[in-house]
Amino acid sequence: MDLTQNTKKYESLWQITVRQFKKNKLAVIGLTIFMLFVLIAILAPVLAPYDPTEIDLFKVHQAPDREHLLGTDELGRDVLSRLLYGARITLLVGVSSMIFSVLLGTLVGAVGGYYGGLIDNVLMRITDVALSFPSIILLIIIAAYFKTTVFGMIVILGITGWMGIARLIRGEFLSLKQKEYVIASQAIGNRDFRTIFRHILPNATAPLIVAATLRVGYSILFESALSWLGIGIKPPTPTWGNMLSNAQSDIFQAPWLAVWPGVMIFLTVLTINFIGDGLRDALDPKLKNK
Amino acid sequence: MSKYLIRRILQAIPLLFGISLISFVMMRIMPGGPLAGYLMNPKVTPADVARLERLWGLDQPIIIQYWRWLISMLRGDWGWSYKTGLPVLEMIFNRLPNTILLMSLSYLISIIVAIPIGIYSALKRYSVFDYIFTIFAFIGVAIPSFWFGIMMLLLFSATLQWLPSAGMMTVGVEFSLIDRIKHLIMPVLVLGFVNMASWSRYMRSSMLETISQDFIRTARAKGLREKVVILKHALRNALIPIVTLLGLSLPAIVGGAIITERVFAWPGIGGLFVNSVYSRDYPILMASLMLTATAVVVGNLLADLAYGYLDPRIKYE
Amino acid sequence: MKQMSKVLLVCLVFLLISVAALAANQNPEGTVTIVGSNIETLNPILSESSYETTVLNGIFSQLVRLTDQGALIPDLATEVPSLANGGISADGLVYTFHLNPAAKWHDGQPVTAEDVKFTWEMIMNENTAVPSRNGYDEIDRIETPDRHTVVMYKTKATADWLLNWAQTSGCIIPKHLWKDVDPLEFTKGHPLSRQPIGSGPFKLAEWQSASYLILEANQEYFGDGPYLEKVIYKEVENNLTQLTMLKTGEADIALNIEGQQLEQAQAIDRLDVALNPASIYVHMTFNLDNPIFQDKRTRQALSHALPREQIVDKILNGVGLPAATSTAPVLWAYDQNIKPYSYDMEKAAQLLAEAGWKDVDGDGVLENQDGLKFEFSIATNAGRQVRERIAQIAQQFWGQLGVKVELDFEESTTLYGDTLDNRKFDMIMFGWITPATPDEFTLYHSSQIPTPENGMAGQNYAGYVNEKVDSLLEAGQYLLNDKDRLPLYQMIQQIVYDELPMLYVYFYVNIDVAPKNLLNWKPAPFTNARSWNMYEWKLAN
Repeated sequence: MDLTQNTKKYESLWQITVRQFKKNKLAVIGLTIFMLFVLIAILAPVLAPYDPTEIDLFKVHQAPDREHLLGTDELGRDVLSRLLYGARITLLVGVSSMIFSVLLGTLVGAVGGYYGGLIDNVLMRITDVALSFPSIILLIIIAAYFKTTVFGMIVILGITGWMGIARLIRGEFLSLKQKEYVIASQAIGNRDFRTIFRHILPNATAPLIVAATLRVGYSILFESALSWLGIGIKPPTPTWGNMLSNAQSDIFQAPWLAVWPGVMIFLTVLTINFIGDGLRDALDPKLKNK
Repeated sequence: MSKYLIRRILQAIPLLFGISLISFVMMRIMPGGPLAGYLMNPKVTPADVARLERLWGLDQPIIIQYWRWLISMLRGDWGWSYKTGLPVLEMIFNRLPNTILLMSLSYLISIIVAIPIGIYSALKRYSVFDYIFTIFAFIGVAIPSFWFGIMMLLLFSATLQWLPSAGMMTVGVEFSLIDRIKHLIMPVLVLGFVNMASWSRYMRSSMLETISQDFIRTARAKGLREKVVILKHALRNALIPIVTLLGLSLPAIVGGAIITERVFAWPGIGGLFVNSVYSRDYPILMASLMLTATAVVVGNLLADLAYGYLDPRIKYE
Repeated sequence: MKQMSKVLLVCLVFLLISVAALAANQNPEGTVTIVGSNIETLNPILSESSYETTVLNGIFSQLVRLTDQGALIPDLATEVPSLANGGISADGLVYTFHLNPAAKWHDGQPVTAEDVKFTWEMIMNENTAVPSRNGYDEIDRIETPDRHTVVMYKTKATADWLLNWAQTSGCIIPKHLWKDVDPLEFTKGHPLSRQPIGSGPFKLAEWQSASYLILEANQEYFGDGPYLEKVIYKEVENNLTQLTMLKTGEADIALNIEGQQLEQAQAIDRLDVALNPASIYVHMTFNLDNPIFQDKRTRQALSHALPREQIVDKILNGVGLPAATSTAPVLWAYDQNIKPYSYDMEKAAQLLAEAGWKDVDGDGVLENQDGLKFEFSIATNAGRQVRERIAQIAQQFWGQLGVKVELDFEESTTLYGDTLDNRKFDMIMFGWITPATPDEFTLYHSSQIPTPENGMAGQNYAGYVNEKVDSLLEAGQYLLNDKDRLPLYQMIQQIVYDELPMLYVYFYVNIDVAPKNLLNWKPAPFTNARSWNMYEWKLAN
């Protein structure tokens, strides 16, 4: 009874996190902008002034004006509308593939690092096999079998992105599992599952979050790079990546085409990183008592 | 230690076999095939195609082809490229030095810059310096590399005309270090900027993690000078994640940078690799895959060994 | 007095010019740098790319050479064999070439009739990886009555046959160097394929694989020229990088400049930019086995609903020609009276209605009498932006007619090796390179539909069958006189224009960029080779 009363005085973990997070101005700005982008993505059909796939060959490469605020592209489509719809696909691909990678990578890394021995060996060899295929090459090979759809792109990016996280987590686990509190947890007979997820993993979240945020950015960038190599998500479906790579050939006639998708990719990746950074500081268990 | 090393190497052998078999099958069931390009040539008859298939042994069952490839590979014969007719090893080793030069230089520069920035940012957290480099680092992480490369190209080559846009050297002029450096600047910078940015972040967070740990407090409590605490005790531990990253980078160093190589026409492995996928040049593709696979194995081994060096608590069983 | 000095001045100028010309003749001067895609081999018989042709034109000689005007001129042969000069026998079965006795290999050995015969033998050898022996397989035997005379005996008389000897694989290779090489070793990577010895105006001095090649003037060249001291070829894939190299002066001639980059190239002072129609065209081939494409009015409707003029204007930045048929406007057999289908949506709708297409169930997609929905997919090369854009335009414009179009962008090797080869498409868009002959037998003849029965032979991927066209194509192959052939090929053009086994979209126009002071720069439309006359290239001061 004493105990429950006592805890009420303390803030919950969530409150501490929020308070710490708010201290980081860049992170707050980042989160605000990112939420704005998410909102834009959700509201794209409402906000977009035109159909993003509507071609008008009489309006090709129009500079920004009142009618088309961000100009028109190589097929006379409204760039603003494409940008808004592009936010949906781009964010979906970036975040979904990150989640995919983090879940898979954490599981493999944690189990391998915690148990060691044969399990670790097998898991790390699987990781090695997966790592030994450079992701762009793997993607080109996979793209030869399948048509690159949005879902396909998420899976491909997810599959090619978990290995780094797995190795990172395993590295952390190797070092953390020798810590006193882990040994204590094992000694008092906690189940492995509990030890892994309650005692070790929270202490490994800092690098994991840094890695995961970078992963989102990486996925978004990767999609654009694949578009540049000609194997990204295909037009007329707009993504910031394919808009940006499409702009290269028109760079001299319509430089504005390259500006906005570039800015959006840049800002998104930037803000995601700010958020990750803020979270890292906020979640850091060592800061709790300060 | 040496026992551990031998065991790891022995483990690597079946791994590489597995990778080679998976690669071979995956490659061979890709649609198209190395003779696809000939279909576009009205002068090439089906009889011609059949003749070439027989000549290259492509008419055999996949498993026999794999067996043949494996046997000759173990004998040191990696076959000939379908596209150029050159021995695979010659083509790889022709380009490998170029790739290693470009990649290792950019990695070296990234490390030299990233580690001090990371440490300093961590120590002076939330200072102006920290903010500037945080933003700088995030800019590096956030720019699409092909776009960064193209912008550099347009600015420094097309507009200002300060730097050459393509290749490794000015053709027809005697080799000079200055000339080589001029050709290296842009690709190294484009590659290096991204790594520099993300590594300084890793270094910063890893350093922050370490200095809040008990043994650092203990060291400080013992009255050790701050410099000694940071450089002798904290840095060693903080480097562990960076070492992982470096170990993971080894395949990239030999595998090349596909995008940067393409933008700046750098004659490295990356371009060879991609073209071999597109043209289904199986012997080159297999060799490239085996090269990166080996680099992965070696890179991991080195990373694990470095762990043991940096953190003596990690024991090798 | 004044006049006298004028005359003197003129004389002096003439003297100076002729001295300069003479000097240039003896001492080749200057360097020209070409930038293009990668070079894989310098073995002309095994070569498959037009980039390699660009370099090989400098290193090797052929019996006859194809000019930018589509005419044949002597190269190693002292004159082009014809019926008139007796080089071709009256029955069209025997060709006689007289070789230039002054011709020498780069190693000093003379070029002889034996080399020509050897070249043919290597092309025909079972064990060499020669991509195509088409045309050469019509030779029954080659005789060499003396060191400089070659007589070819053919199994059948065919038109335009000499063109085979003017293509890249017609480069004559040295027997004395290759004769001891096992045909199985006759590969793209053999040292002699990497450091070739030819008899052309330039010698290969250095080749850094995937970087650059240096050609140096061959002072012993038997013909006119060369006038340049060096020709450098740089291997660069990205076309924006190629353009940048033109700006920085790292390159003088770029082979891959695109329509969108035209103004940028034109803005470079030292360069001359010319637009030259080429013989490559982009088309959309119907799979005529698909029941929805059976009625030719359906195909005509789609053709009317494709805005070719706008595609050329907006997508190609004006650098292209709307296509009426597959016959290149630069070809002699081209029928001027056939105009590309007009863009006319009303006509298109009307044609579709006539063919029985109607939206019965009101879902916005047309159906025909059999209840088939008018929906299909267009397959084309992923990453080829122009084609991706044209496909999107077609999707929208045909959509307005009630035709539902899916887009299917595939990596090129998959597209050609699987989708095209196995005819797994409804409609497929890509480019054909046409040779300098109007004979399109493999494209339109009904025997050329690839099937397992005929061993997948031919390029009639549409599955087009027309008896009239078949008989015209057959007849055309055996007529040796262009005048007799003309009406046949014009009739074929009229028929395919009406029946549309494929939609002809546009013909390429090459953007040929070269330094203003490069004389005798005459890029050719047919082989896509800008360097056929590299021997004459000369830099003005």
